[in-house]
Amino acid sequence: MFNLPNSLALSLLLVLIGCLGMLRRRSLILILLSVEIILNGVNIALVSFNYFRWGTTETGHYLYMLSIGVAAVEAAVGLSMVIVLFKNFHDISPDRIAKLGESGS
Amino acid sequence: MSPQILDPLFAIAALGLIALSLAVVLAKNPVRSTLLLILSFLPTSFLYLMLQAPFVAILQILVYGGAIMMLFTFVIMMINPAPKGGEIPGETAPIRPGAAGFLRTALLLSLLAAMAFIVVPPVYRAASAITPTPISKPGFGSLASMADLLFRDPANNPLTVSFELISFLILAGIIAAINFSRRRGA
Amino acid sequence: MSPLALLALPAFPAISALALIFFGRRLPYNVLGGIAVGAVAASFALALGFIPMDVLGEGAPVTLDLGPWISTHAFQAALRLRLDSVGLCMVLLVTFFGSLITAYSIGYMREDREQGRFFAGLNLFVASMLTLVLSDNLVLIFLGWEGVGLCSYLLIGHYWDQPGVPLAAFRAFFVNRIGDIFFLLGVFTLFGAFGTVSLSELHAHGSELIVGHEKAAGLAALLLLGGAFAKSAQAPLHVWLADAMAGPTPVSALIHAATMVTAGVYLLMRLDWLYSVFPQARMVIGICATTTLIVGALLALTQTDIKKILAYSTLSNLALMFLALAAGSSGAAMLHLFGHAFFKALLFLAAGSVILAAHHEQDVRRLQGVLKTLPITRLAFWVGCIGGAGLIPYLSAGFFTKEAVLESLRNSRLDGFGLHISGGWLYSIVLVVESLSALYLFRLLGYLSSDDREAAYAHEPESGHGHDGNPREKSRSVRLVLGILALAAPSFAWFSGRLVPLHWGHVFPSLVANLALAAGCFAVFSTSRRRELLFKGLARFSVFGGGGVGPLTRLFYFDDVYNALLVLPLKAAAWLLRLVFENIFIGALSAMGWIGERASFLLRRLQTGNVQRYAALMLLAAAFAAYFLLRG
Repeated sequence: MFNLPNSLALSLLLVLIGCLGMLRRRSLILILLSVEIILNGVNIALVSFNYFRWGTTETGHYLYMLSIGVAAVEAAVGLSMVIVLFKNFHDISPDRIAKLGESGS
Repeated sequence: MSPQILDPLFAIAALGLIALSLAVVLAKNPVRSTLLLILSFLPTSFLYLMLQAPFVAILQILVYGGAIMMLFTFVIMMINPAPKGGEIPGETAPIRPGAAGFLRTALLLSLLAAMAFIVVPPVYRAASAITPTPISKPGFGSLASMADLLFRDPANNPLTVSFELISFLILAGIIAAINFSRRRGA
Repeated sequence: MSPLALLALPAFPAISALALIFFGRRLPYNVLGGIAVGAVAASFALALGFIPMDVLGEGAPVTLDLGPWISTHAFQAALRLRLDSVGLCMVLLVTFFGSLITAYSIGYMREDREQGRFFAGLNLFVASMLTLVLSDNLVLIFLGWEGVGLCSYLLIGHYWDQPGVPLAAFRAFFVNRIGDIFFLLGVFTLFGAFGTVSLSELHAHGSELIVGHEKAAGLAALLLLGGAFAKSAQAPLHVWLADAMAGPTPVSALIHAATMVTAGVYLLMRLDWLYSVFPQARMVIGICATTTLIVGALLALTQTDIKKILAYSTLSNLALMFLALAAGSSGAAMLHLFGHAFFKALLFLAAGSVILAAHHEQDVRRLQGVLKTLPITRLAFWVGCIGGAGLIPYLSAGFFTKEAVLESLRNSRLDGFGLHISGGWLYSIVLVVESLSALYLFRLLGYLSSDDREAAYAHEPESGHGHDGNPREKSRSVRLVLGILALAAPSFAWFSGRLVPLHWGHVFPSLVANLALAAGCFAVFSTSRRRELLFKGLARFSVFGGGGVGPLTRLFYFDDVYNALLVLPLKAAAWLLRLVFENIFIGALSAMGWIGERASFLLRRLQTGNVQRYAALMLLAAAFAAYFLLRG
């Protein structure tokens, strides 16, 4: 059971769970949280590929480091944007602060 | 580790991870979601250990759990929107009443199901067709090995340069975050 | 006298015109007028200098070759000026009347507006007319032709903000333009037939060059007639001359009596050798001229505006000149051109003096008795009317000239298009119509000299007028020029008497008849009581019916015919196009706009600002991509 296909299936399921959360949560912060889950799934795929298929060097681990670097930066920037939005709208629900549409002002 | 216990360990870790992630996505309380995510790093790290990536496992806890999730926690504590319209802020969008809402939910779920059922089998088949190669490098995944990979012969090593460039990325992020918090205008 | 002086003749007024255009506003008025008159007078003096060269006699013509102008392989037109006896006569005519009338304008336009532009226009006109008369090839003639047409338009439109004036000016220009088209087509056809447009060459070798190209030459002769008719206001292209009276009176005197309208006659005189070969062309001239003769005389009889009476009289007299040409005598045509210039210019200038003194009142019924207090104008009017009606042989400027025309008609014949008209008919028609000229001229004089106390002209006593409110001749230059012309006209009459033989047998009855008609008409119209009786009597005949819609009131329906033939179809076409354009084109464009709007409505739903919706769309796209990537 500990083989590459199952690892990849796990990774894919995590990505889908993250997508589900991203599309359904009503808070911008929790949307970002769901994105972290997606990234988590991707990282698992990277490392398991390295273990099962690329035994010579740890390039997959290095890619993991890049991935979490990007995740950190993205979380920081995204959260600061959320803070600014909260200051302006006093609300972080994506439905209510969608001002671009026809019913938005 | 002997191969016989790897299988059930993998199963437990994987299922736990999935369950915790689902819980993160479906929880009503945002604080609870955050804490559950932190908790989900444990099975993840365990998986990394099983994949002979100890360094990665530690990084997962330290960086992801220690830095990123701290950020999230801070922000969630800071941003405390009042419940509007009878809903708990941050909860999952309920299924809207009426035909439109039903259609929307059905569309969404079918999208995800389609992704799952269409994408997974070919991937599974393809992955099964790959013959696994064993680990040939001594000390695979350890810190020394990682250091050797990254910093050996820096003049000709592309990984060194890109590793250092991550710092630029972080710098950009810092500048962006600071700029967002600046007061506009005067 | 070097040939270069030929260039100076049109150059003086042209340079003066340019100077007046640029500096006219800054110069004091008298300097303006002085420059304008001086330029034309200089040309006149220069022209006089050519007389001793025996150009008028049998001497060779003076030519000045300024070099090639258009020279291509197929077509050449040289810039050559040529002065022969006919040319010198025309030059003297134009410059004489030009300087006199410009001097008159100094007095007339003193309180008018935009004087610099006016005098520049007059000078430019003289320059163009001189170019027309001096040039040796048809293309250069066309340059002068266009120039006089342009100046006519500019000067008619002098009072451009008064109602009807811009339209009148445009009408004059437009009808002239139509003539220009005919002119150009005629020149092209002529070139096709003869291979040259140089007048001297055509004159010398015309009979040889025409061989083999008779049809083209005949067509050219007819086309050029169109141009001449438009310029000289012959039927059916005469409709602009009456409207041209909207311009200031000196303009009417110079351009529409003495010079521009004679350009058509001049052209046909120059091409006389061509018309002698094509009797059909002469038939056309004869028919149109006769029509114009009658129309002009009849309409002059019933007009109530001074200048319009004189304008229709001009039409009639121009027709006389064309009839002489149709009869083949360009000498008679030229003679009447001169005679008419003398008495018509005199009459127009006198009318201008009346108009000026009466504060621009032009309706004869309101100008009754106005000549009582305008002595020099009165003299001018009498001389002019006697001259115009040809009442006294050696004193009337028009008498011997009309005799010359009549003579040429008597022995002529018109053949063409299967018709044959003997000169006798024309002779009789002219005789009768010229009696009408006595009638309408003395009708005018009668009104102006009326001794009726109640209807007499009067306005409030103002400063500058006599204390009794009567009109007075205020301007020195006006009186001076009128006096000069009043002396010049009989002088010309006496001079012309030496050129034309007189057949007393034919002349005497018409003379007596004209005298009687003139005296009777004058007597009737100068007293309102007799006038009323006349009108009551005439009211029985509906042709003269006051207020009726007889052909006289409708100007013989020429305008109506043009309206129906040209204006209405254009309006209908415009209406149709507008319909098509607005409904179909605009409809199509609006439909495209509507489609765009609907489409944008649909697409707008994609942009809600809701990040989750955006994310969902991105996932959808990714799913598709993944599917297609994995499939292969």
